[in-house]
Amino acid sequence: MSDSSYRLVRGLLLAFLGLWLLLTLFPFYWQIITALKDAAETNRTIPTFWPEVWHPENFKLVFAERSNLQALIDSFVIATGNTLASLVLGTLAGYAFARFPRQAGGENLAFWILSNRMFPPVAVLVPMFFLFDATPWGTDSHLSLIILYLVFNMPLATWLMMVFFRDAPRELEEAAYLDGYTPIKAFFKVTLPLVLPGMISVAMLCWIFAWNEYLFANLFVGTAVKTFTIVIPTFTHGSQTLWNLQMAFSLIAMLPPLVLFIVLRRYMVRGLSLGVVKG
Amino acid sequence: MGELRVEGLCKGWDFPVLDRLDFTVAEGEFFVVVGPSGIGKTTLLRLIAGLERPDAGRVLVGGRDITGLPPYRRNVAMTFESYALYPHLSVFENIASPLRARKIARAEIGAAVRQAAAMLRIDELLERRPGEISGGQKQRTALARTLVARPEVYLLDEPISHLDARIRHELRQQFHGLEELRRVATLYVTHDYAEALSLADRIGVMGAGGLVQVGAARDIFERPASLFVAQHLGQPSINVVEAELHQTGGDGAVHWAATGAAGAAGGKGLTLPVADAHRAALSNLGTATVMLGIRPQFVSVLGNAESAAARTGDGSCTDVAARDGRGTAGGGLPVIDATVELYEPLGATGVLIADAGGVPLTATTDPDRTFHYGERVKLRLRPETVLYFDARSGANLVD
Amino acid sequence: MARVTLTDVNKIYPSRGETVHAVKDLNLEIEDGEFVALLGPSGCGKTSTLRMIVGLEAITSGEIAFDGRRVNELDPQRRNVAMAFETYALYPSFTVAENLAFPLQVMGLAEAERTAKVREMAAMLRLEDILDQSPGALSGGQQQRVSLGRALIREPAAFILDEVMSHIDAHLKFRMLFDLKRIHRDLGRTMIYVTHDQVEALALADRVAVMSQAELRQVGTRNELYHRPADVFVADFIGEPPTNFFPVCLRAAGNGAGPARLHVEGEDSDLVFDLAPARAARLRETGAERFIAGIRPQNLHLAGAEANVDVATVARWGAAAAGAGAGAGGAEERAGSRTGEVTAEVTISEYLGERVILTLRNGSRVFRALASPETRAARGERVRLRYDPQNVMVFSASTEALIA
Repeated sequence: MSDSSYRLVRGLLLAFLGLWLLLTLFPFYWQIITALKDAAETNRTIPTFWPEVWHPENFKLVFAERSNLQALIDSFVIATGNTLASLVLGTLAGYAFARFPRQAGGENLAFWILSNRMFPPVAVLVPMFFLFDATPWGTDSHLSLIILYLVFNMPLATWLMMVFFRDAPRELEEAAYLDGYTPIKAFFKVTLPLVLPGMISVAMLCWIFAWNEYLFANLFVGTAVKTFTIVIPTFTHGSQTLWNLQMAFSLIAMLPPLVLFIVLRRYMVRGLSLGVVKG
Repeated sequence: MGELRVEGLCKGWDFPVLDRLDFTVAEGEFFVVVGPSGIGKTTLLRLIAGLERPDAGRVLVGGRDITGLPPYRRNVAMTFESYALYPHLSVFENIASPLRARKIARAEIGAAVRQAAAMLRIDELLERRPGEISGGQKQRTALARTLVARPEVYLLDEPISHLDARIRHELRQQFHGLEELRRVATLYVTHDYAEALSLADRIGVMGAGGLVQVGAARDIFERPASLFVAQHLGQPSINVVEAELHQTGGDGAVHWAATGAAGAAGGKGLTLPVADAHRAALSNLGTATVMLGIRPQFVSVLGNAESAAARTGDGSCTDVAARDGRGTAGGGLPVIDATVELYEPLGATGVLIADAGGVPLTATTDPDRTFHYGERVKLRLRPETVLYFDARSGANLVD
Repeated sequence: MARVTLTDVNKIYPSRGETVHAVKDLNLEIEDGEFVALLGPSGCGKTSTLRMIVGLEAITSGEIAFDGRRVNELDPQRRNVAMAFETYALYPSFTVAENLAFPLQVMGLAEAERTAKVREMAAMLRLEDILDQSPGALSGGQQQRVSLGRALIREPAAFILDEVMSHIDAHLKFRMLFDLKRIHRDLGRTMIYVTHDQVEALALADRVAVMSQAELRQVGTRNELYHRPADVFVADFIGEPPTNFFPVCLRAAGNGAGPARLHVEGEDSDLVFDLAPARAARLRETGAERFIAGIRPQNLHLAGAEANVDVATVARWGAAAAGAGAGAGGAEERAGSRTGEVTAEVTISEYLGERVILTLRNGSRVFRALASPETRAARGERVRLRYDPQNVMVFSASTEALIA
């Protein structure tokens, strides 16, 4: 390849990547500037690309309604509760499928569990509502959503944990047995630490799903318990949508997953480099 | 404490791997099982460790039947071929693991770990993770982990097979120096015959189904019970030549003759006398087809320099002639004409493959010599070094 | 066909804020059709060198040229080199024949031509009987041969083989070594073989390039590396069991000229090695007093009661223990010098079938000797060992370079 044609290809590639970056970042930019405008400016026919007047107080205004803060807390409780439950159940089930496939029901059962993740949730929306309505804690509670989200998160957690456990060498557990550890102790001493990076990734996937879920939350809760996803559409003034407040509130709702990712990323990266042996 | 005993041990999956295996490793004995990969050596260790359940048979330690016990109640320590070090724990914690399982006091653990680490020269590495140390160091860490457990039986699965020749050599010496392994019954499995010969008090050679020969190193190498044993031990592998035994004359002399695969291609074959010592065992076979085993180091290559020296009676070579003279009646050994097919000077030996009248023979030589493709050389065989095996069963016909 | 020239090649990797100098000022010329092995312990820079030759790694400075044409900037696929890897990397869904044919298909060869070439390659690598099988059903050795075949079938200018035998069982290795050597002879193309195993390197290569700590230590034939190692590292790395080294002090036997003796340091050791006059002169020229002496275990022979056995072994075994009788040139020189002798106590006697490795002790000095398998020298026994002064190598204590 000659030098000039090499430069041309490189230039085209860079131009394409630049364009791609612009397309990806533009929504974030729009969200941020919208959150800083006043309501009138957000509804102009010709949009402004830079706020004429800055309104950082929007971020305070969204909490004028006390229940909005509570909604974030409720979302957090539900997401965290569901994540813990998914992890405990998924880890145990995944271990069973990985180590004792025959006793645990084999590949077919494992696939059936995963297939639960594949049907469209809307199909079971109404039956689920009646099912949960019949429980002592009803639909409008933290527990109802924590359990409901297991339908989606547990198959994922089980399947992924199964894969991680399969990758964890069985010999390490056997070495632990010979060191004198019972199977349960060996599980906690050796196997669990090995899949910990995987578990953290699974936890993040589960947590983010539960944090962002709207469809079921909108139907199930709303009075005693609110999640932030069902609060966002309520920022209106008469028939007018208050885009600035919606954007400000969603920016705030974006922070917990962002912080979570930054904190946990360290462990995920460490997990990836664990056991890497230089050749 | 006591001997390790295996009685009628059977294990199979789709096909039998171990078939009614019986053997005993005495207290303080270093017993090495050697055999090709995939023959069931690891399965044997796993059965003794309790990681697999036998289909039949018993495992006894010091007379106590432990067949039904789970691995963590057996007081048996094992190293794995893969070392099985815990990647998330430091070298120190890896070594300490068996002691932690027994809830031994912290100070005592520290002392025991440091002692084992010092003995194996890994005391500088205690803070590192297994991912950060070399293969040889990993092996030593795994060994230290088994040694601190001070079990009743040591099981060592190919502990040094996957290391460089250089480190293997060093670690073999290390095993010679470890008194702890000579305290209890130790069972060591490997596919490397050199390790087995070097380390073992007794060797068990494993073939399909079980042990085909058990004995001391010299017995196994010099008097293999079967062709399988002879072929498995030795590098380069023993020459195997199909030959006919013939009685000649009235003096009871026996000759063997080999035509070789290339007989059709004009090779005139090989005919050599049977040594006096072997005659008794072979003469009653009459005319029979046998398999000869000729170790490459017993095939001497008489190059120009050496054969000339032998003729002129150079000091060192007359010794040879005198010594060799005892072996055959009439003095002088049969010399075979051969053509060089291939020659590789390796580090410590040269390997020569030559065609002797249609019979390919491998010989080891001094690595400083050079041979070229197609060169004519003279080979010399000492009849008393030839092994005779039954053509069908492979059993040793002499010993 | 290609002559590969590396001129002042350097490789520097950035690593966690620091830099790692992986290859330092490497100069190496590989002739067209030559088989060269890059040998060294792990981390010595041999893999980086290989990756630069292939084009998988950028060259920090210096030049790599094929037939005099600079290739630094060329992509791997444009350098016309083929590479076989340590891991077999076969396509599992293809049969052996399809795996072999794949590179030809990529080149756009017609089907008939492909089939002919696959057949030819299969014959060369003894794969005819398994052409229709899938890689999963093959043994490690067979997979490795298929992988080799796939690299060779393109008939590129040079072949690069990266640790291709490290996963093959020892007893299959011998066969593979012979196969590979024959293939090189048949194809007559440049081959570069990277390995940490000296047996492979010495068996295969016309010349071996020994690397350590990012630097090329010595390039030479087996005999050059074995008898004239450039430094302590090469002397130690080449040979099995490893060479014995002793810190020594030079003392003249008589006054000034004449034969000299090397006294091994350490108060509790009475080891002394004799030195031929010519070499003693060379040592004196350096002006130094302290040196490192090296002698290979195969050049130390049991004397006394064991002597007959040992000498017999030289002729009859014609093998490992025969070092003293080595080479025609050695014999000539030997005539002028007498045999030296040292004594030591046996600490380990390792019977290995074809030979015995004796680990010996003299005071605090531990060293090794090779003996014939008939040796019965047992632990604790005092033995005398003979050596040919020609086989004592002497290195500088400061630079570790060979002096004599």
